[in-house]
Amino acid sequence: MKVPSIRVPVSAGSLLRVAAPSLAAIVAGPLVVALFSGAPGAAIAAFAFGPVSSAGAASAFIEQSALLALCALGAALAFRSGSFNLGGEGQLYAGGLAGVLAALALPSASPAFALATALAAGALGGAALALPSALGKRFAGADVLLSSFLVSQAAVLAIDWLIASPLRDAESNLIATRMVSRAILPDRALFPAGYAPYAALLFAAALALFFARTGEGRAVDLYGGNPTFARSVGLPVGTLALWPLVGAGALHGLAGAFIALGPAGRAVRGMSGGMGWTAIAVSLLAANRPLAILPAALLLGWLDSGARQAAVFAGVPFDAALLVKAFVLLLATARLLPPRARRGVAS
Amino acid sequence: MALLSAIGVSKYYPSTSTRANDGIDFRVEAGEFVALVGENGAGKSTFARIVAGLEEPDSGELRIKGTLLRRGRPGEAERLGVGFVPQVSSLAPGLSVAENLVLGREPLRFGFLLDLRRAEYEAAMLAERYGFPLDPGATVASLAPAERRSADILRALARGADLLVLDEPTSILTEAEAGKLFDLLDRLREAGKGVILISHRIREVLEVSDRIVVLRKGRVEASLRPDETDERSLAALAANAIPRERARKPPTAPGPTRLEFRAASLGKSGSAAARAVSFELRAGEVLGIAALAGNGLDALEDLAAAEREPEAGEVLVFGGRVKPRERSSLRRERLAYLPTDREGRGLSPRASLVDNALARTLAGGGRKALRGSRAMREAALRQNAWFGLRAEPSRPASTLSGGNRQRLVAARELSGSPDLVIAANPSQGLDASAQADLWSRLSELARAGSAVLLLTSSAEELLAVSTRAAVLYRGRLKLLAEDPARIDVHSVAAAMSGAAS
Repeated sequence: MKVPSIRVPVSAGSLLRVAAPSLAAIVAGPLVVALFSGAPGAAIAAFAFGPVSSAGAASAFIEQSALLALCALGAALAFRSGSFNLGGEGQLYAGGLAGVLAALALPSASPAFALATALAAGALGGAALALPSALGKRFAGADVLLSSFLVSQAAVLAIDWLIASPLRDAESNLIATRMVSRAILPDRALFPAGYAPYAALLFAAALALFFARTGEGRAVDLYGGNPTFARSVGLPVGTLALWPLVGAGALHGLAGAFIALGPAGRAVRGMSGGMGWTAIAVSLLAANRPLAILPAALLLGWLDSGARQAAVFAGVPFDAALLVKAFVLLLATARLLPPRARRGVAS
Repeated sequence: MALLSAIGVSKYYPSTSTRANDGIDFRVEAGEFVALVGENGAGKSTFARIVAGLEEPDSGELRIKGTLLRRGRPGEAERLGVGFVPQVSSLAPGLSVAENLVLGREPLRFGFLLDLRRAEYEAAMLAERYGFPLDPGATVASLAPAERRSADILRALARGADLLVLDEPTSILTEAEAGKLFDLLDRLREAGKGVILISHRIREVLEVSDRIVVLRKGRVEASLRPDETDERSLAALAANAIPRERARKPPTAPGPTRLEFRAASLGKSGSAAARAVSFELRAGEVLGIAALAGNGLDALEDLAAAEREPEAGEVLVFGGRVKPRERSSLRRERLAYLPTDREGRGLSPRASLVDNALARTLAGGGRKALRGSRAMREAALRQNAWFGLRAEPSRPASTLSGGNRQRLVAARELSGSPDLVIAANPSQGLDASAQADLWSRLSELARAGSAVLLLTSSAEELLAVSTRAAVLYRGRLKLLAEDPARIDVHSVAAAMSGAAS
């Protein structure tokens, strides 16, 4: 039997779903910053071109987008398994702190080993924070949306306190832990945007391959689409309820470790900065497709970075960018087409 | 003037290519109790929904008390006095009976405060008037099934219904409960209300109705008075007992026991439960069990497919109880299952045909290996084509018609050589030729050594495939024949509706 080549089915609806919010961001972003600025021209210029106005700004923009992509990959993994993980923020924060503590615990280890251990600890920290929700879902049918949010919020408060009190570096002006050895931080001359972009590319490719080409990836999708069917047909629903959510926590934790082991080299209070939430928008914007997450993260990263530039150079309040993000999130999650047009064609 | 007069009502569903109603003429006079009977898919519920204004007919006209029911106005039938009581209660369980009765048209004090006392008073008056023994202040969740049914009817009456359309109101009631409900309906008849009763229970239909209309394939097959027919012939008429050549199978010597029920019970109240069911199913045979909706077939299916554990008694699969941990491996290696709940248990609508077709393989050893998309696609194409399903494998299952979804599930479950097959209403949605293919495949599997349990609501299907035939009535199993060749559709249909044979 002749089998035609594989085509990824892309419907007009799914294209519109991705294109409309992206377009809205591109149009609405400059408009909003202009509205909040006394000098609209300068504000728009700073917003639109600020992220790539210098090598330093471009590196920061790429690094931020990569971190966002890592978190969004985690979000997509959880979403596709049917778990609406709202705990990304806490998982990222926990990963950051765990990574720093591991690095601080190994002052005399080789830099490569210390870095690998710190990143692994970061992933473990994020995973550990996702584990209670996963266990709750697996054994008690608990709602991940609520449990992940509650665990995460509690963790954020606890980590805030840890960083501000027992773990605080008394010699620093920052509310932050001690700094890790500079030897394990990326050499910015060689890696201007740090290591995160490589990790984001690697994980995006791996996850894309996983979902498209492995039985386990298909099983995650089947379980996420209809857990009753998955159970009935004999898929191992116990493990499918657990590991994708824990994996999502690990990816957030890894991103947290990259943040802490980034330019600051320490865990700073509030370092998650809402990235766990923005990652949800990125994942939804990309329709939970790993490869589409990369451009979506660049778009949202640009919004953040542009807003920061506009804030510094044109006095626009940084929160104005939040408006644009909220708008994008609304469009990404809204059903853009009427039910009749969304319905499939019966054969 | 007739309460309802319908002329030439037709309804076609393009998505499933079904002509549900095909030129139906129908009348109900004031104080008349008309029963609507027919096999599954005969178009009864569609017609009821059209009368209630919940569906629009493609052609034909409906007049309620002489007034033409206009299209595109869903609330108009209710305004004109039609009260629809669906099969599953539509009351809000957390609210009281009175609150449910006034839902959407609550009595107000000062124009904005809910006047609950008045609501309860009105409900009590209404219940009193028709002799419904209901406490208006009771929460609906606390009511027994029969009381809930009464509350459903009372709500329709509270909205001024003169014509009640009841879709299988007794399907979850015991005989005593059903008796009470019909006493209440008698009072309504005396008060000049009309009733359309949809029911599969032939005996009760004969007892309570003034006229019986038999639907078949969307058309009116017969309109009879109860004294013009009897239980057996009406059951046969309703069950579409067209004589057909049976796909007779050569009897084989049964092998080892694959499935055994030992006084297994599931489900606490109502007749939807399976009660102390015992049987043995051996390799090489097809045990067919037929039942009408609400007689416990769903519970039997849950037990046989190891979806749930019995509350009393035992269910042994391959000689042992199935522990939850073992079910996955059992399912992918030895147990094929075509569920009645196709959309819930049978497939994942958003996933592609490839993933749905290979779901059992994914659950097996192939799960962890990196597989070529091409290989998966080829395997899915092969498997689907084998059951006559030719569709682009990357499409989501939700884009298929009902019949093709059933082919997809059947192709997946019946393509290997399972030791045990649980086929629950396996030909739902299939056209005649696919149905014949399916039946011969089930027989073929049995000849090859599978044990097949066929659970069906169709007497015809029961006789076409089974090597042993039984019926389930109000949760109890009754063996009809060791050799189904010796019984006919009439006697099966009668047994399914509880008639003494």
